[in-house]
Amino acid sequence: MITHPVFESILELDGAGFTYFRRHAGSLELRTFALVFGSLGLLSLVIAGGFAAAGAWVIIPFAGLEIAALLTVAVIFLRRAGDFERVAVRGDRILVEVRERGLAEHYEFHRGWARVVTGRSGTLALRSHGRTVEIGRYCGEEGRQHLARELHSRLGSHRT
Amino acid sequence: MEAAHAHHGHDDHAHGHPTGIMRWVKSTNHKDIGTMYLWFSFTMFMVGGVMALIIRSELFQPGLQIVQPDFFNSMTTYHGLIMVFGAIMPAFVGFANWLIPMQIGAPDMAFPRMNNLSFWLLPPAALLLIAAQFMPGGGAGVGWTMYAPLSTQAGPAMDLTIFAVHILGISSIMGSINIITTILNMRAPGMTLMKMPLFCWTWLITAYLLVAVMPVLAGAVTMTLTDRHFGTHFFNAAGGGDPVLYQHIFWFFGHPEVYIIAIPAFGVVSQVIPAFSRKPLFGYASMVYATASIAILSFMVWAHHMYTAGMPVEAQLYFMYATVLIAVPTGVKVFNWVATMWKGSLTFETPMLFAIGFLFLFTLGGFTGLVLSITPVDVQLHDTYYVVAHFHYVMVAGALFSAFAGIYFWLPKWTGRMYNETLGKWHFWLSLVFFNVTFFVQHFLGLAGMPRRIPDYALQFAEFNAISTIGAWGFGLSQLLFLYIVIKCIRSGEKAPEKPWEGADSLEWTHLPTPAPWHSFETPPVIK
Repeated sequence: MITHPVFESILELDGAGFTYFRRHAGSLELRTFALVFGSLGLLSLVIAGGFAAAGAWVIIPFAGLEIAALLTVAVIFLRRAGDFERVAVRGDRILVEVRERGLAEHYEFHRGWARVVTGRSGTLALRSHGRTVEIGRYCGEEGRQHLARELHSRLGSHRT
Repeated sequence: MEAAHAHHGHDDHAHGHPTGIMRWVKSTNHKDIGTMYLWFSFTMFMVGGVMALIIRSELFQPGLQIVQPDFFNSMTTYHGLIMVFGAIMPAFVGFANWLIPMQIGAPDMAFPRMNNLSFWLLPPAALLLIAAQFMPGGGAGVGWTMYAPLSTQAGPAMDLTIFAVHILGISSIMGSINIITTILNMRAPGMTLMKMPLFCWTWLITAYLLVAVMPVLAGAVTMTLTDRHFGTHFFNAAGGGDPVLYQHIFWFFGHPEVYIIAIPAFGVVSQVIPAFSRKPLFGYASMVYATASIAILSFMVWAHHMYTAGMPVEAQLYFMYATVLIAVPTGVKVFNWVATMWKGSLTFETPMLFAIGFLFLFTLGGFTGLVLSITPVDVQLHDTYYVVAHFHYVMVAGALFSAFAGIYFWLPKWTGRMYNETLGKWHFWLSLVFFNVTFFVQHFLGLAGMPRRIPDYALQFAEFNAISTIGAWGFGLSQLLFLYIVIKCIRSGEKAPEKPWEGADSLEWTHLPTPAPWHSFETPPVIK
């Protein structure tokens, strides 16, 4: 019924190259999200509207505050939904593509100079010529350790 | 399980987690926050319990014995508020924090910092409720329902109470949004909604209910506040307002609130009974639909609390029939729990005993609810001890027994140690017997016409009141045994096996070591 996570699922070895790709974890489909949060907001409004019609209008601002809270969560969800990171080794180049909170950034390192750096809190980064890019933020500590080993074996100091 | 160990062996030494008091103050770890919720809940259970014992001690004999009527009224008010908002609700939020991420294969809640804030709003609210006792004029003797015009005329303690209710509401809304987002968005690959343990389903539905009704409560108490201090007349008939409007608003929140308490209890029992029957839950899908049906119906029956407040006969008929209708999905659940046990390999460890106790007594509380739903009967029994007995069968034997079942069930997973089974069984039997000694006789008192919320009563009610008080003290003292069992388990319990309950099949039992590691499911499991 249940299998343990397999690290192979986050690493693809494509010929001589290497690609790591990971999305921000999320099991919620946009449609379900809209249905649940939309219906909640609508229900709150209908209830508040009903009581307002009976004279208890004070419920409306509280329903409004709650809908604002739901919208905040919606914005956070939508901004994170498409986030991903991709690390690809192609020849002498290491290409890093990160999309965080909707903003995509691209980095390129030279394979001979880049180093894998492990932070004290278990974070992982690629560093070269004063530039540091965090990677492995969506794959958990074990995944980061595995990713670090895979990258180490492909970087300059380990090449034969 | 070996594989699971291999995956989580690093957790004990990985990036050192905080220690000392700041571990708890700043914690964003769902397990720590769950633990805090549970301890807070037990503390408030003790505070509310002391208030209950004051009430029952006063009622041991007719005549004013121990306390003054104003103080007695204050005790009935804050006993209700503290037990509902401070004890039972936080207990199930504690379960939600501990279990939902582990049961859906998530590393934590969706918004860990908001989770921390949700919890830390509770202690100030609790302090406000307790501090209200020391305000000029004492606590507000308005009942937990805070009906106008009594609440609009009460002393300054009422303002503290209103503020506390606001804070508790904010905490509940934040917690609910967190739970909904966690369940919907953080499930492991393959963990479809219809594969989730029923506990997660019950909390998803409960959180939805909470978000829907909390603005109503906030509005109700705010209007009470403005009527008290800002010259409005929402509930003041002399100013063109309507005190009955308060009752409609309160019960539009209050009836779903009953299910907000009961539905997570259904979830806990739905985990425990299959585990000790060594069978899957009978009719899983029908349980989900029945739970959702109960939640929907809970919005449509509020005025059955107000038959005597005055309403057209057509409205009385509607609310009566709608209320009776709730028996259908509730019956589905009860039959499914019984069917789960049918021909199962049953064993009767403490969690199962409490679950079966829940099943019997909650069903009894449901039946007395059906009696009260019949309008002409309710007109006779309204505001009598029959109602007190009914809702304590639902709240104590329902929600509290279910919480005990859950605590004994998951204590090995939480602590890595086993509780003392013999003492656990003693706790169950003492609680069961004393609970019934306390509350069963209250049905007779109510049928004989004894009103509730009175510190003195007529002589013909003396015997049953004395019995009820003895039962209350027995029940209260039995809970000290529970505290002893839990502390003994944490400090010196035997090491728990990896899976102490062979029939338990949710992710936290099949996929995580015992005790649960500091971080679980950093890499999501794949469910096929």
